[in-house]
Amino acid sequence: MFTKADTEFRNMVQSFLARELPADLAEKTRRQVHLEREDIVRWHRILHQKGWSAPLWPREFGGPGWTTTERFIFDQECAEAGAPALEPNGTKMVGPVIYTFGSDAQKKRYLPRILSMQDWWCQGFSEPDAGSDLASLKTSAELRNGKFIVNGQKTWTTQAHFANMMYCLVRTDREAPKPQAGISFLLIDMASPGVTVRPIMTIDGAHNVNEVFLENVEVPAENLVGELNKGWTYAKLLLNLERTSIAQITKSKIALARLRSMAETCRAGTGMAAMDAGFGDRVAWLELDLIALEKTNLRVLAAENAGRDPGPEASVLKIRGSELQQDILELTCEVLGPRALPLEPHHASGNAAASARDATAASNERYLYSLATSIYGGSNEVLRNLIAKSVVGV
Amino acid sequence: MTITNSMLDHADLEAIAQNVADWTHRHYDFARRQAVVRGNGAGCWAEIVGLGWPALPIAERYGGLGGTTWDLAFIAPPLGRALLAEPFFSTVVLGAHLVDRFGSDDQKARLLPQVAAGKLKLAFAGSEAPGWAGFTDIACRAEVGPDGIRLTGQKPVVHDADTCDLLIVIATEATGLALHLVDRRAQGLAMTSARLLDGSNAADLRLVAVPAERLGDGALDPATLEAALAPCLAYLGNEALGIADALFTLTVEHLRTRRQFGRPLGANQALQHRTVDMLIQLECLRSLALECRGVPVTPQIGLAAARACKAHLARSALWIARQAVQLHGGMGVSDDMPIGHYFRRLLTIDATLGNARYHLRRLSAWPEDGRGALSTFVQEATSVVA
Repeated sequence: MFTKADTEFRNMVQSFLARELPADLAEKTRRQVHLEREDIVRWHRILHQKGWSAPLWPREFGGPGWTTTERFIFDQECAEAGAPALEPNGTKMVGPVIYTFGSDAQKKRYLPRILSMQDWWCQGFSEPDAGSDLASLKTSAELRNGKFIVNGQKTWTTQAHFANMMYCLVRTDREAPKPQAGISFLLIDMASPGVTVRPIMTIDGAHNVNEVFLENVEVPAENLVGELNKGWTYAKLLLNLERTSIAQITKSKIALARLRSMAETCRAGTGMAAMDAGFGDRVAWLELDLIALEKTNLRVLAAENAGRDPGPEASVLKIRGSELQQDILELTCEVLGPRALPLEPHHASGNAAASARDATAASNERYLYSLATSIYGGSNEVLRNLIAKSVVGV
Repeated sequence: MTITNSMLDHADLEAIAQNVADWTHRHYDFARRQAVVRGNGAGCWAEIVGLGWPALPIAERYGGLGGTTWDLAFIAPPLGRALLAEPFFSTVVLGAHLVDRFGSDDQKARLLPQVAAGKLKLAFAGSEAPGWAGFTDIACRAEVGPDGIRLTGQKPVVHDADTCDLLIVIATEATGLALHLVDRRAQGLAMTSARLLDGSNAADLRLVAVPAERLGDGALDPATLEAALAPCLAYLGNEALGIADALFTLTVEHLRTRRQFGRPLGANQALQHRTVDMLIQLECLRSLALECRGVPVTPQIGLAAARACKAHLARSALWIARQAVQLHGGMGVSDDMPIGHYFRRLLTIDATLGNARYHLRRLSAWPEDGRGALSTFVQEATSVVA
């Protein structure tokens, strides 16, 4: 599957990580501590120095111009070394939309700022009444005197409290024949008057997502990406990119390795969980399912490298990847028993205690927040609808 | 163990697989297969011999095409789809492989050309215990006397025993396990025949001082024998993929065309989602089946990849088969339709040479070996340098 050149590439990435990945960040990842905004920015800028902060991007926009296989290797090595995950909204989502559909001025202004992480982007898609049926969104933008006036409410906005920019789907034509045909893609400065961010605490007890209220927010007309009322097309590109990254196979492999090591120190009745045949079978099945999915991922990448449309397999990755991640984390909590129950210390008492805890803690939070992976990026049920349309097609 | 290189590259093998698919499509439809199974029609052994399929895994010096048993996994999917009712697995995949792997030069030179020419049919009498214990619990004994080796014992459910020419029987000797060649018509050998689920025949063997010829040197241990069967597991896994593919295609076609409540069945979201879950399992099985096609880089990787595929098919192919039956309704349980026959062949595959739980336990072998063979397999299989 991998060529000699790929292996040399892997060696290069490994030695870079050994040299440049700060030990304190790797340690935080190992202990599964929630990362701060500064942690993520710091690592992003180290990658930027090397020209690797946007693995997906072609060279002409400042990316490394990697093949899909090289990106796979890079992601795998980073995850195994304990590097913080790249913030996806800039480099994986709005960046490709801007360099594919944006104006020259937008490319010139925003792409370098994404590469260096001067901007933190968030996604203004979901609304209180537009969840899985995203195209029914109502947030309106009216063009008046060279400015869009935006009114509405966005929700489940991940890290909006960290972001200074939002890419946003807005309704610009209520009379369009299909709801998808009246949507535009706007770039909004979060510091604009009329933008209010309110936290939503999630099932894991943490602050990950927000509501964003937009009241008569003025957005310059040049912040429209592409053409008016064509935003749905651009969003589809972005959602496809998002889906392939949600499978998180490497992350699940690490979680499974962690589960195995926990099972060696946790009791299951009279013996250790690791010696329990029933538990062993469940782990073995999870591992086998994960291998099958990883091989499928490599097939999708090979198809992309060969210029073929991977077809429904990309959505298969997202559905199965999210299910497996949840199954692994569920079993982890089961093995830990009562030790899975304490919340991460910093929710209650600040960061001081966080560094002292061992790697077993916070499994419950990982599990609980993983429940969102089958919901966001197109719920698994919506994706099944999409795949069925292409496979069954009635 | 060393790995023999194949004279056939993957492009050759894919072309051969395409020929197999084309031939079975044109000349071996479900109606013909059912006629063969019910004893009302001529089999296709002579035809497939003419097409050279039995010669594929046999070395050129023995009159073969120079491939290996691992290469047969390429043609397994179309043969699964066709529900081939011939002793191809017993003779070509398993029997010829055992001769090639363990036989003496003399035995290979005597037997393999006959297999390649379609003149010799083989059957393997291996495991004895109810359930599956690998080759750890062999009670059949080989006694060495003045007039040669004599076998005594029982072998239940030996596939294709009553249609073969030569049996390969595993028995316990003073020095360990050994494989033996036994003539089907040998004195002291009694058979009780039975039809199997998949339309093939098998027999329970009773051996009382049956004359036998040792295959190779003997002195085998269960683990060596089991490891040697890896390419046979890979074949079965790939055959199951062909069947799962066929079941998926039939089911999608049925959902498109069958109308109830004034619309196609496939207009129902519950059935659409079930179909997508079938596709997910199918693609995951395909990924594992592709991993064990063709000669592996090392025997360890080959064994792990073959076990992984063999284990997975119980979750994927058999689950797909159950959905296919359900979504076909009455047609799914009708003997006149292929669905149920695919199901029966899959049950047979699952129960042949160790089921999912067995192989998963061998594969995982955890915590004894720390990380588990599964992770080793992934690590090694993904770090192959082309």
